[in-house]
Amino acid sequence: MASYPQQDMSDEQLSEFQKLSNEYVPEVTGPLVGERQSSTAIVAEYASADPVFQAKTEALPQKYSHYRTVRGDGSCGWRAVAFGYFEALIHHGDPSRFLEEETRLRSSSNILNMAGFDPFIYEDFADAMFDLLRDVASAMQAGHAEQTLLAAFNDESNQASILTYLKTLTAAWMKTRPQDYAPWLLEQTVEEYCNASVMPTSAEIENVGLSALKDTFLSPAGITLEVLYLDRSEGSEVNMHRFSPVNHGGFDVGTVRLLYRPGHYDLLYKLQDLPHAAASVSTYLQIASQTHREPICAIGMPDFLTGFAGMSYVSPHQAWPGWQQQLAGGPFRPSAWEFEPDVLQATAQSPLQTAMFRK
Amino acid sequence: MASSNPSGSIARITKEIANIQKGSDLSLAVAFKDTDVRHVRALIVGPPDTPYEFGFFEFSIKFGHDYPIKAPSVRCITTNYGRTRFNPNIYNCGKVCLSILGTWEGEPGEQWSSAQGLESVLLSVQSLMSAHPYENEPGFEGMSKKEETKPRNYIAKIRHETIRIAVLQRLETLLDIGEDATLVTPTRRSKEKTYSAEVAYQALTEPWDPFADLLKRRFLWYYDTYAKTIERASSEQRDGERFDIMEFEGGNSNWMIGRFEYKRLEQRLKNVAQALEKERKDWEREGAQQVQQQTQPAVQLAFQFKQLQQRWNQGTYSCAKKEISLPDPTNPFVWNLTLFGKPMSNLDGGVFNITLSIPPNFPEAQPRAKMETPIFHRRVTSAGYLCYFPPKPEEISSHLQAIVAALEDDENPTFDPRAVVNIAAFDLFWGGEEKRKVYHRKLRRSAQESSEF
Repeated sequence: MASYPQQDMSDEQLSEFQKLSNEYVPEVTGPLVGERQSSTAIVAEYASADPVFQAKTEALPQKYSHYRTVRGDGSCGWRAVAFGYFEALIHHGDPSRFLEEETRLRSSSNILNMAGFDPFIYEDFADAMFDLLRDVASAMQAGHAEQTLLAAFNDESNQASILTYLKTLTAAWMKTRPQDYAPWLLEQTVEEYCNASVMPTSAEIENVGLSALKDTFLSPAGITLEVLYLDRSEGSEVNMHRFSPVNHGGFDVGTVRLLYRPGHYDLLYKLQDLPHAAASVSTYLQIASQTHREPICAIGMPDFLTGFAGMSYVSPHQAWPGWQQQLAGGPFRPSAWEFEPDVLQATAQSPLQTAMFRK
Repeated sequence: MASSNPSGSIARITKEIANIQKGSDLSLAVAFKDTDVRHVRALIVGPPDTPYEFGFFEFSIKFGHDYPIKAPSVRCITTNYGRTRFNPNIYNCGKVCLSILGTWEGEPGEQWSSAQGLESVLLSVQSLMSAHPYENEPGFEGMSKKEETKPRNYIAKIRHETIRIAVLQRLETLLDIGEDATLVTPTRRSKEKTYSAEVAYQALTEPWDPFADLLKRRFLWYYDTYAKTIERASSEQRDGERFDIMEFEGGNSNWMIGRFEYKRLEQRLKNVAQALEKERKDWEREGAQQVQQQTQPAVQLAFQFKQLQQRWNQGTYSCAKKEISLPDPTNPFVWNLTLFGKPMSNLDGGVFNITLSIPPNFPEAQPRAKMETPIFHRRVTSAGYLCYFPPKPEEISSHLQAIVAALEDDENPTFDPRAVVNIAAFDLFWGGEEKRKVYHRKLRRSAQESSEF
């Protein structure tokens, strides 16, 4: 990025920066998923940017110690969520969780069939997902889960299969419960939205799709999704948007944190998310990871129930209808109702952004 | 570690091909060599009521190793040896511009996803062959009123070239006849063309023409439509007139140029029909040779005839009476089927003779059924060729039953404009209740006349 005088910027210069920010084109080379690195690298990247970015990125490492780049090839959002999901499971520390996840996802083929997908359309991709769950589980016992995961996600066709599986799963989930998603779509049916913005290989994830992916893929696994927005809005910190807090039978497996810059997603980490050796502070997640390791044949009933997508204990959509009226007619964030009070307050002054984040 | 699963995608491709082959869509056909499932040849029959009507458009489709995550690549090979652009989006070089294939940057359209497949690709390509192909071009909306002759002229030349290139040239090549009906050898043909994507492609692979027999049979079905198109268009277009060049055409010969010459097309159409008739006679002769040499197909056919003769002629099959016989008792490659119209049906009182000519390479090539007795029937062309659908194309008995079923025609009919083999009969049959009655009356009359034939 070119260096600019940082003080006394004219309006012109400011708008120039806004333009640059809007036109930010992420790297399309480099690894599909990079190594985890210190988030001070982001600070360095924006050192010569305008003050808002500077302030926001400077505050970033205090809360989020590390980050990981995801190749900006138009699928980074999908890839970041998929990678974060596996990482959360690894970090959770219980290898049997992988088998539970496989069981849960296998049962979701009912949803795929209900949505009208012929099994031969998704079988190969589902198999890629199940294979990776197993591979990572066994690599975990051998102590190199992270390397296995990173290698799998840097295998072009393998990761493409997994992303395709997630797209199909998300589209099927939305199509089988259109009433939950239709209110968030502008002049589009759920069917049209899925065909135009979820299923196509070239379609990057959008907010409604991300919300559905979270509902069908992350939440039933006990994984929370947080998106941190690095943009030119007011404030000295990145805006955090936490999708429905985990409340699925009270078990909390982990959190996927995404760093969003217009048009691009990367992965962010707090210190507590790091592998135990790297983390210096004790966290509840470590405690969780030391809990009982139950053999898979003894899956408890509550866990088993959550294994079915859509059978989570609390439907996140029960609260939606009441909010439709308040939200209708203007730009909105799909899950604004889910903001925690402090977050809601912090972002209250900032102009709400459009729901769509097209590249 | 799980890596890509190439065998999985092959299973999917195979399944998709099988689905189309099993399907009842008469406008699509696909084929592949056993050695290479990833390389598929597809035939799209031009849709009725468009300038592409019943043209034979062939495509070479390649499934990459990243299929179905990425779209297959599609190339048109019906391009008059790289010289003719049949559509704003189907170039002379074979490129097919479609959003679903990722080869079209114009207006946003349907994008590729893993839920798409061979059939949706073929249907998208087919949808380009519309009644108003000029409108495929993005600049169309901004066109001024007085330029409306452009779309009309575009349609006119496509209609001409569809018949000239996508029907006649293709069939002449298959039958090894020149435009003047003289026999040509394949070598002479490839020498006289300087560049040809098709020839270049065929040079790389073994000669392979999976649709040869299908195209011949379809030509016989659609003969009347071709003839009518030529007749109608030749009154609208003066022979010798040059094609109008469209503003989007040009550059690298990416256009459609030429002159109207419907008079010649009329003659070439007749020549092809005669050549096919001659081919049928040649089968009889070749069959007789096979009988002499006691080849396996000859022996098998003779055996099958004996078996079926007993069953059919002694009325094991219920309903109407039918008989089969061999016009030449020593040659089992030509069968005669006599159908006596079922009482109380439209065919009541009729006696129909049908010749079933079996090719020496049956079942690779399919038999042709021709009515020897004139009949007015929606499944019979003016030349007497019967359009019928044997459920098991490799079995002669299935053919016989399908022939009878097509003539008796008392199952629930489905409207399929791609099975229009007799235009007048089709129009009456589907023209509403009154016209349907006229159709039945005419059919009954031709049945009564048949007994006097």
